[in-house]
Amino acid sequence: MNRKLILVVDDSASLREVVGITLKSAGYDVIEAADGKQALARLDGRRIHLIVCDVNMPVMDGLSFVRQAKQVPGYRFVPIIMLTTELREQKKLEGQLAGARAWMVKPFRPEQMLQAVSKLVLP
Amino acid sequence: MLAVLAVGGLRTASLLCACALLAAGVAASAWQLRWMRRAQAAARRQATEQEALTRIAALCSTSAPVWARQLETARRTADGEVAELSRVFGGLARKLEHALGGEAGKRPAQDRAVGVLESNGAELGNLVAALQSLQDSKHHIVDEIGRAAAQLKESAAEVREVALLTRMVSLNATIEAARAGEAGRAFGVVVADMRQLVARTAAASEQFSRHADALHGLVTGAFDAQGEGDGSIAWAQELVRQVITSMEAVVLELSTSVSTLSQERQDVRADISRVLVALQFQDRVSQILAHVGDNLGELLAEAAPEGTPREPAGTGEWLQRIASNYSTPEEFDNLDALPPPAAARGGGSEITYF
Repeated sequence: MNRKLILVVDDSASLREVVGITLKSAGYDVIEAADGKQALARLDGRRIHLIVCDVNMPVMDGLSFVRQAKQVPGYRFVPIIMLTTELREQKKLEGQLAGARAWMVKPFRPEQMLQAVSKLVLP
Repeated sequence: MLAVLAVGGLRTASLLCACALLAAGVAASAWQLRWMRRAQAAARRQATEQEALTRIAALCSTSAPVWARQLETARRTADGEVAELSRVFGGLARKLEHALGGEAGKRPAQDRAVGVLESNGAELGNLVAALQSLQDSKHHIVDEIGRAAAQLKESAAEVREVALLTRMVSLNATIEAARAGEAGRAFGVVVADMRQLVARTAAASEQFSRHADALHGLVTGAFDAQGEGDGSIAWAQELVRQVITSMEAVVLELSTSVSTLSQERQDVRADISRVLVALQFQDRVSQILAHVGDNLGELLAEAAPEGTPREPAGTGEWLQRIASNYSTPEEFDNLDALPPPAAARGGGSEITYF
């Protein structure tokens, strides 16, 4: 069975765990990164079907990561869901301009997350 | 100094005394000037410090209620969500216990099933041993019948031989009677032979009778054994029926457990969903605390600015500045001079697709 791989980027270990539990329970494989810089290092040629990314992170924030990920060959069209507590429209607009495909406000319900993932994940 | 010169004239002593007085006056003036400068610097420093204290006091009086509400929100969020997690986990434990039939004093269904299977296995083992014994008995009877049949064959052959001899003797007697006519001596011999044959025939008949009796006994034994077999079969049937009944009870119990598990699965899934939502409180609490920490750093910078002094921030400008990194709805709620909102927000999430 060809399982789909999802990259989860969040500086909160507990949030990464919660997202990981949610995705793994639905049959996805998950790799993690604690900030944008680590996440860029994960884009090493392996096939990634979707990225779930926080906005406010140390070292490299989520929006900067999205902008740079879009420049990495082979990852330009990987869909990205921004998972954040940010409610400000300005930030949401920045996410859209950076290339994110969805903006999800925490806390999320697992079924909502899975619905968004199944809608956006690459075939 | 002029008074000294007027009284003493232009003599050397008077001149020296006047110079000394002049030097003392200059030194006193310099000391006084220096003292005044120090006093002015101290006054300016005191004024600056007073100004800073006033500014900090104003900012603190503005910020403290906000930070207090932020910390209260973080505390209540953590407390409320941990309580919710405890409730959910308690419910999960109860549901699992119920689904697995683990009430106090009651053995779990799987343990009872194993016990019943072990008991049934022992009963079926006894049945197999009994059936094996019955089969051995039947084999023995068949062997005995075989031997008796062989002996009957031998007896029958002997009887046939006797009949043949009797026939030949009868034939000889007939011939001799025809040839001798009146001579009756030959009949004496024939009669003697006939007697012998009769005796042998009687013995053979007796032997045959005994074998027949033996065969009868064997057949009777076989019938008796068959009767015992019927009883064994009935016993085996009853045993198998009991085993099937007990197995049906176990299967029914397991089926009930599976059905209960199936029903509970939906509830457990919903509970796990609530747990996953509640676990995200840590992220919100972490952000609120980090932002309060940033705010404190801003306050320190405002109180003791480095480099070019800047215009002190007004309270409105200050609130805008500390709120610039706020992200959670609770933090924005806490900016208002209102009582803290309910800490935990439900699991509702917004999602926008671009």
